[in-house]
Amino acid sequence: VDSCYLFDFYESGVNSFKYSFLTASGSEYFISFDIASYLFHQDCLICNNIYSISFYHEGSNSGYDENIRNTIIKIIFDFINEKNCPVLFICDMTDGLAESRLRLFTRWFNLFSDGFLFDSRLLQFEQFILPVGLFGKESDPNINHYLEQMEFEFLF
Amino acid sequence: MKNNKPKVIQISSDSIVGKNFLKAIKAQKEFKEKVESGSFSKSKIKKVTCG
Repeated sequence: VDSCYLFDFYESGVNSFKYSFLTASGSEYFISFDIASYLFHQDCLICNNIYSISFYHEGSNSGYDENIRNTIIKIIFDFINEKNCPVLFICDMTDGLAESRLRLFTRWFNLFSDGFLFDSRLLQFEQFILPVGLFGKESDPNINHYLEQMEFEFLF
Repeated sequence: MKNNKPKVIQISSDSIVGKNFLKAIKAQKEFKEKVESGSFSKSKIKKVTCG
């Protein structure tokens, strides 16, 4: 990541870590990492250290700003390196743009993927589709197994 | 990196995993509400620079 915004780090409790940054146009972004092992079977030992990420921003952006992308990617990759964990993201589907978000993350990841891997699934519920993705370190021996574990769980 | 279209997994919202994902969606919504209510920025630890 060549350039990005300064960002603030917060620790809001056990297994919950938060970040925020202010953009040049005055929009403020908020990012939260929370333990997500509950999404996997309790017997899945490799799943005990998976975090999920949530985003939110206040204010509107005036035009394209690549520093927003750079900052979000840096926060994610720094978190993965520091905690030595994979990060799952569940695309917000409240506005009908969930699959677009997954495609956007895929594009972003392709720009900065050195040392990291990314995989995704579309969870087909009865009434909606929920896109999910997972970032992790290439050196993680289990990186290709986390989402497979999720598939295994869905058989039951 | 896998560039192919993501695999589709069928899931019931009544299953344990399905219910857990619905909880996760609810948690995301609560996170937004927490930010909007101004309760997010009470415990800043440090400012981090890029690079």
